[in-house]
Formats: sequence, C-alpha cells, structure tokens
Amino acid sequence: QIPNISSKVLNLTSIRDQSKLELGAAISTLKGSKALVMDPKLIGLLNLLADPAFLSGCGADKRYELKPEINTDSKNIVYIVRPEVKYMHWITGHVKEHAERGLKKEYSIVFVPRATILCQRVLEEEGVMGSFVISDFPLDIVPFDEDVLSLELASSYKEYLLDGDRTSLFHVAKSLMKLQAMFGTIPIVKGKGHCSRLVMDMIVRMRKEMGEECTVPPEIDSLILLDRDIDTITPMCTQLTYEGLIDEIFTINNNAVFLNEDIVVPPQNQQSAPASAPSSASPPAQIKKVPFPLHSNDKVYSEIRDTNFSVLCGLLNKKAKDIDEYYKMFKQNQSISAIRDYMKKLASYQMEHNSLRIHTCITEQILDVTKSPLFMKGIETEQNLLAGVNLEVAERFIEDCINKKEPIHKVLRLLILYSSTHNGIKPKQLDFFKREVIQTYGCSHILTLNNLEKLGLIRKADLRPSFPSIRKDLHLIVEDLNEQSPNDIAYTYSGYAPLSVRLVQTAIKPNGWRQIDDILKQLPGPTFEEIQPLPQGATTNVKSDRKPITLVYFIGGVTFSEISALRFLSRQDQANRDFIILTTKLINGNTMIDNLVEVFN
Amino acid sequence: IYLQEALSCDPSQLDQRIKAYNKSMEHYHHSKDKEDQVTSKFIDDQIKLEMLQKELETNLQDTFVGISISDTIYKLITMNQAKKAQSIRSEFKVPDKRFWWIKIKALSMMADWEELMKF
Repeated sequence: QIPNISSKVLNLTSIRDQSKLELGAAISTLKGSKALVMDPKLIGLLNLLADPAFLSGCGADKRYELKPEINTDSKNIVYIVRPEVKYMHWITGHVKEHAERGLKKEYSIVFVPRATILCQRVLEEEGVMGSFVISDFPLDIVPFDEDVLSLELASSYKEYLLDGDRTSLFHVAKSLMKLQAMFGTIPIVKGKGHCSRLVMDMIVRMRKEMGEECTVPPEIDSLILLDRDIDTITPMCTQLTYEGLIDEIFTINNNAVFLNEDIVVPPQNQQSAPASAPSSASPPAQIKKVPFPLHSNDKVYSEIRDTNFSVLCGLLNKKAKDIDEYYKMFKQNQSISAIRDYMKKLASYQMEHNSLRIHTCITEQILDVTKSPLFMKGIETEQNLLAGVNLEVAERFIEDCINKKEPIHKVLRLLILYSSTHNGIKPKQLDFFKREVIQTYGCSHILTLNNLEKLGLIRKADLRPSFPSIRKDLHLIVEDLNEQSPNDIAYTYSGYAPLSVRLVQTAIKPNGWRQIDDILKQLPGPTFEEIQPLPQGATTNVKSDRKPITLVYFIGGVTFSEISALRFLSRQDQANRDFIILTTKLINGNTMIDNLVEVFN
Repeated sequence: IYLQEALSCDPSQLDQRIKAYNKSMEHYHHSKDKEDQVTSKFIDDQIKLEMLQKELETNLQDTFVGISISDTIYKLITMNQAKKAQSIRSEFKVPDKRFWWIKIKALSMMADWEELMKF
C-alpha cells in the first residue's frame, strides 16, 4: 500500500520517516497494548505513512474506525482525530458508557494537526477532560508519490475566501519552512495571488523570528506559489487523462480507488483473499468494494496514468502483447541458463500481468461512461465554452441537465465554467438558472449559490470579457494537437491547455513572467518575484549532473491532470528541470465545490 | 444570513420553519444589494411551497415538506394527482420544458405508456 518514494529527484522518504516517528510517539502516550480508534477521514492518510506492522509495534494491535458506538475489550484506547466538535461528543459518549458499565479504561486523544480550544472546551463542559491524556500529532506534509506532496486540508479554499480564516495559510507557510529546513532555503520565489502573497510574507517573518538557520545547501532552486482562484477554469473541466478520469468517475482518495472485489482479486485465489480492514465494514450481500492502490510503484500504471484516454487502449494492447511474447519465450528456450534468466524476470512479469488485468477492467468501466451520449455532450459543451463559441447551445445543455436532474455538482461545474470563461453570466440568464436550480434541487441551494457568488465563481456579467485575450495570448486552445505523441500540455484536456500550468511554463522561461505582464494583471491577486538571501555558509553547490528542481505549490488544490501536464513539461527537453508538486489538497471539480454545496437532512 | 441555517435544520415543525424563513426574508429584503432582493423572493416562494406541501400532506397522507418543487410535481404525478401537479406548476411558473421532462420521467417510472403516448 505504501508507495516507495525514494525518488530519483528528491529524497522525500525523510519527510515520511519523521512523521512516522511522531505518530509512534503520539500513540505511545498510553503504555501497553491498546486499541487505536481512527477518524474515518484520517485512515487512508495514515495508511500512506505507516503499515499495520508498525502500528502493532507501537502496541496498537486493535484498530477501529471512530463511530458513535464503540465495542472493544481493550483496556487502553487511543483516539486519533481531526479536531471536530462532533467527534468530541462521540468520544464523551464512549467514556460515559464505559463508566456506567463500571469498566475501568485509560483514554488518550491525539489531535491532528493540533487540538483546538473549542474541542477542549467541549470536553471540559462534559466533565470528562480529566479522563484523557491529550497530545498533538502535527501531521502536515504527506508524500503521495515521488513528486507529489499534499497537506490534505480539504476546506482551505473555502476557509480563507469565504470565512476569512487564515489558519490553513499558516499551515502552508509552516510546511514550506519544514521543507526549507530539510532541503535548504529556496533562492528564487515567484508567486501569483492573494494567498501566495500572504504565505510569502509569513515565510519572511518566520525566517526572521527563527534567527539562526541551518545551513543545508539548497537542493530546490525555485518555488512557484499559485492560488487556486487565479485558475478556476481548469478544475471545472472534465479531466481526460487516465488518472484524471479514474478520479472523475470513481474518485481517488489517498492514492487509492475503491473497486469491486472481483476486479482487484485475481480470479483463482478469490476465496483465500484476506479481508482488508475497510471492506469488512461494508454491508454484506452487495459486491464488496476494496481499495486498490494507485501510484508509480505499479509499473504499468506509472506508464499510463498521464496519457490521454484516447490512446490508452492502444497502450494496453501493446503491453499485453509484450507480456504474452515473454510467456511464449519459455517454450523456445531450452538451455538451463536461459531458463534461469527467464525465471528471474518471471515474477515481475506476473506482477505486471496482474496489474494490466486490473487496469483493463478499469478502462472498460470508464469506456462505458465515456461512450455515453450524455458524457460526450458534456465534453463538447465544455470545449465550446472554452473556445467561446455556440453559447446558446451550451446554455440549452445546462438547462437540460437541470431538467433531467443530473447531479447538482455537474450543473454547478458547468455554470462556473460558463461564468469564468465569459466574465460572468448575463443577468437575466443567471436569474433564470438560479431559479431553475432552486426549484429542482431544493431551497438549501439558495445558500450554495450565495457561496459561489461570494467567491466570484459565479457572477453577473459586467465588464468586457477578458478571457478571450488570455486564451489567445497564452495559447490555451491548441488546434493541431497530436494525441498519439503529444506535443503540448493541452493533450491532458484534449485541446485545452490548463491555464495554471501555462503560467508555470512561462515562469520557467528565461524572461519569465515579465513578458506576460499584461495577462497577469488581468488575473486576480498580486504578482511577485523575490530572491531569498541564503543563510551564511549555505553555498549553492547544486550538483551539475542533476536537473534543477522547481517546487510548485498550488494553494487551494490541484487536479491530477494538472500534475500530468507538469510531468509532461519536465520530460520536455526545453524545460530541463524537474517539478515537485505540493498542494493543500488533491482535488477535482466535484471535490473542489463540495464544501460549498449546502445540503440539509 | 445564517438565519437561514436555523430554518433548514428544523425538522417537521412547520410553524418554526416559517418563522425563521420570514426573518431571513426580511433580512434580505431590507438589504440594499440587488442580489439579496432576488434571494428574498426565492425564500418567499419557499414559504408558499411549504404551506402548499403541508396542505398536500393532510390531504394525501404522505410526506412532502422538504422536497423541491420539481420533486413535488414528480411525486404528485406518480400519485395520479395530475391536477394538483398542474396547479403547482402554474403557481411557481415552472417552464414547459422542465415540466415535460418531469412528466415523462414520472410516467415512464409508473410504466403508464398510454398517458405517455398522448404527448
């Protein structure tokens, strides 16, 4: 399950090891064997850090998901949770119930990343504060892959922009300080957006307050900070890379996708398959859903994850032929040494074979969706909105979606895309859409629409639209795209180049952002370029045999397709650098607006 | 603005709900922002809807409060209450197109092919 991340670019294992140590220390606050009760939202994340063996080593031999009821015979219970008031009430319930039944137990709560006053207050008022050993587990950066790191703060975008809450920005700054302590001060910083500016200011202040700095030679040569709200267009479009589509259709959480068991477990040993932890909780009678890990340690996956879906079938086919050829080779080879060589590689080929079988199944299921007329019509509408043509057709399609009561997320994504590509929606049209949405999906969406308007995701058309000039100057629509062997990042969306990644692409050019000054002015938030003075003693002895590394920080989330586009850039010769991607959350259009959609009962 | 939250959380206590709706409507209505005026109209509609739904509940012995206008029409058609569905439609000025969609969906759900053919 845990990806191997001792990457060729930057050694990220040390980040994980440090978190693992801290986790171990937090769990060990209670001595002896104990039950570990985990926040459902954290389980997947903790799985990326530590395997069951490690947790058992810390004495946590029983592990549960946190629920309103608890059923364990362990004498010691360690809760590991995000600081949410709801959980405090659940936990208080457990303690009181145990007390009523005359059970004597020891309790501890580990807060991730740290306890809030509100949570402590709840425990105090319930009169159970004294029963707990309370500690913090400052989990911040979680490595997801060789080149992807995330803080997994789901609501940071909303918290800052809607509620004016800067806590998550503080975590962003802290995470950068941590990286700089490990890999050296990053000399060049470029940024765009309000959040980026604030984070930069925080870093400068934190460096001053720290006084003395460690003198690690800088391994990362530049940092690019980008706010999500300078590009709200890209996440609203349907991702068309393999990984992106898996995320759009099945949703990827913490590097894993939940699939029907008959896909993941090889047919011959289905009976003996060990039941994994999350699946045992799912209701019986139905087909079990089991998590399937997705990361670059899976050789087949690492080759196909970033490709456009249209070329996928061909690739899978070729791969299958390769493996078949290898199996056939056995019949021809007769000499002992040849057989020995053959056997050496056999295991890895069998692994590839299995993974290929699973990915073919996934591809089949995706094809079922992408072949449907509704899906194609949706893509067409997106492309029309991006290109700024056939607006009436797009409007009619959105109306139809509402009439058919398609998922609300889909409708809102299209409306946001419409608004952000056309600098707003005509007032009359907007009022019409609002009424349709509310009458169809219920009145709680009065609030949803209010949220979206406050964030500027949906707005009334006012000025002359600025998107056409941005589209032209940044060459966002690529007509002569070669899908077989892509020549531009636009392949990730079959013809549309993600705005965010275009900005990164220009930032690393010799003249940088200066040549697109006019465009940057049209996007929200300040633009800045700064040079961080290196601490004395830290010399720039970047090894010349290695490409320079740029850290790209997406504040407010990044999609899988954008990651694919950046990987594509680093493979291009002209870029001649590697990218490490850090974000507050891995998102897609649905998850991005998820915490803006208000639902009651 | 958060007045609205209070109302939506309230369960079947209609009086309380309406009271909360009225409060938030006033709040929006007195705002100078044009957007908020629009919002206050939406809430006004919602009050009307829930009153009607309450009436339906007593007449038809089924739950209605809490579902949207489209869903109400859908439910009424599946319950063979086409007339009541029509009156909701005209009350809230539901566009023809959407009404047809709802009707087609509801009729095919009931497998009422005869009625469907009449279109």
